[in-house]
Amino acid sequence: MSENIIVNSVQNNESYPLIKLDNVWKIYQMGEVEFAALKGVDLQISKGEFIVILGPSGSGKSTMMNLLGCLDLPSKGTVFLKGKDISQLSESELATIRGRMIGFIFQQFNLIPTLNTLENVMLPLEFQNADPFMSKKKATELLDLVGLSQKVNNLPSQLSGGQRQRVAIARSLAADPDIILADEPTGNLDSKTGTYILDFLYELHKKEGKTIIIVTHDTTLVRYAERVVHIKDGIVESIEDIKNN
Amino acid sequence: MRNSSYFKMALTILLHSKVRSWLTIIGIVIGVGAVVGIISLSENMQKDMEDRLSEMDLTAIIISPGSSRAMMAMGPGGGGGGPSSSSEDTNLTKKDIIALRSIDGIKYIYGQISGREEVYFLGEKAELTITGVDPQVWQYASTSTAKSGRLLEPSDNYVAVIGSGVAEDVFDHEVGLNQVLTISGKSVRVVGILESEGGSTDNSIIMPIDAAVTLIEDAQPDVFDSIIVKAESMEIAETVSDDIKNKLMISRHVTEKDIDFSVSTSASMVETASEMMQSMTLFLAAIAGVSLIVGAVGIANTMFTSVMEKTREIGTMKAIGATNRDILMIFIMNSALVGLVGGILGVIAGSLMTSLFPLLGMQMMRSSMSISLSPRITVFGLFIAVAVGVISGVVPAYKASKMRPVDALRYE
Repeated sequence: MSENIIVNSVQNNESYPLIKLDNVWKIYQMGEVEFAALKGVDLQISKGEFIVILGPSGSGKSTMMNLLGCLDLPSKGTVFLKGKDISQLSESELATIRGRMIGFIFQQFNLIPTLNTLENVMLPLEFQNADPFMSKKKATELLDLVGLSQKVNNLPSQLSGGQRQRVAIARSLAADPDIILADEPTGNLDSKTGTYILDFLYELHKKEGKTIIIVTHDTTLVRYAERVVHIKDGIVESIEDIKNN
Repeated sequence: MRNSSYFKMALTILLHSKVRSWLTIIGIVIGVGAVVGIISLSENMQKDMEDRLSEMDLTAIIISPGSSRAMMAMGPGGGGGGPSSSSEDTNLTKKDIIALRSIDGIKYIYGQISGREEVYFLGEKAELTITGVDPQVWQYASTSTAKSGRLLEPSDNYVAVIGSGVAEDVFDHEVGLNQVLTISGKSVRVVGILESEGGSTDNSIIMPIDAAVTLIEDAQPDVFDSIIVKAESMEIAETVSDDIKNKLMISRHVTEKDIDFSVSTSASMVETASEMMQSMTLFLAAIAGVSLIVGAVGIANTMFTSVMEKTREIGTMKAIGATNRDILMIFIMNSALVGLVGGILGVIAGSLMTSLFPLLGMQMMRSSMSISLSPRITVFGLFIAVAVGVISGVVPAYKASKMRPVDALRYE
């Protein structure tokens, strides 16, 4: 239960910026040599922003996504989530925080192949001990929202790529998180489907004020962004404000 | 996560698992089947033994020559076939009976000889056990009852009482009362047919000892293959048995070291038999245990593979909020379910095996006995299976729970 108190205190603390990276380093040990994927990154993300983190492969953007998503801890420096240093949280506290505050969308969709569409969307709620009846209701609503109410009983393998990504979006929204973190969300989709997905996320951002963070190498996604963070060789090259979107 | 959700996740994983993982269940099926079958068999044999015991005359004490214990020689009738263990230079004689007469607590005492001889009936030939008894004592001492005709009487000579097996099964024609068997050239009239007792008595021919001596090769007058004693009650049987031993040691001038006879009570024979049965059961159970271990290793192996294959899914689940405990529980539950399925199949296999035992002609059991799995053994079998599943799943599940989400998500 103490875990819940800590998580709640992080979740409800509105006096700090949503995410703050303070001189963050990530160093990997590759056999004898050390490799720095991030070299002292500073970044602040506020609630309700639509941010694109743009960089070529090997720039350190995936590492950055892992840190922003509380999937990994920095080697040096501090990642603050609503003012809380995530390095001080236990593994299960981090898991609970991810479940409640962050919705993940992956390039490979990462649906659970043995669960049907509805069960996949319900899964984040089940990890939070939500009432099964409420979870089911919520998941049904979300699948309706992404236009897949006809596919609730289908397994992921019976869906097209675009449909799978829509399931993944519905899943990312299930726990009503503050942050949607998308890693190359259009990477495995054709451009038409990709546009649909991005339009959908943009709508979500506009209507519900969700904080959207997209990590990509695809420059065409920039047109949705309010801010673009250019990253290369482990450092933030520039941050570009596109206010009049 | 709720327990019901763990169960649901574990079940979907199980239902979608590959043929390969179903194959590993076979180990558990065989293990549980064997354990269940063996326990059930031994319980049934135990019950059978108890049934026999309750029918058995526990006042009987049997003295046989030689120092080896007479085992399983006595049928429930108490007057049946004699012991086969006899050494050439030691004999039991009338002198021994006389020496024992003075012991308190002896109700009946008589010498008995037995041998296998060819018996002719209506042109057919069969080798059967001929038992010679003192007709005067035997008719009171024996627990056998005549189905038709009568038991032996003191004035009888070349007459016989035959077991129900001899009457009905041995010859093509049924042997009836007053019909004549030819043994060693002598005609022997059947005066009685005994009730079936399920023991060796069913297949023997019981005659007055004086006549039997002339029919059985090597038999001599007043030399016995065994001496049968009936104690006055079963409570004192053991004491009487000890007294007999001491008395005979004195009269035969032997000590514990060079003892040339043995005394056993029917109770001690039952004990020996059940001890033998227990060690056999233990041995079989050990074999079954080994196959359970093999099954456990098989499940563990499959679980490791399964965890590795599901690395990305584990990463995904962790990303969307699964704690280490959630992952651990899902995989342990999955492994328990694998065990349960193996257990259910194993119990079915075990009950099939159990129902086949009588067909295999287990001679220690009565043919009429019906065997089936008791609910207790069924539950025990399932419990063992689930326990094996959980134990073999712990390490792979722990490994899964400890995966770092970043590494798991990157896994190809």
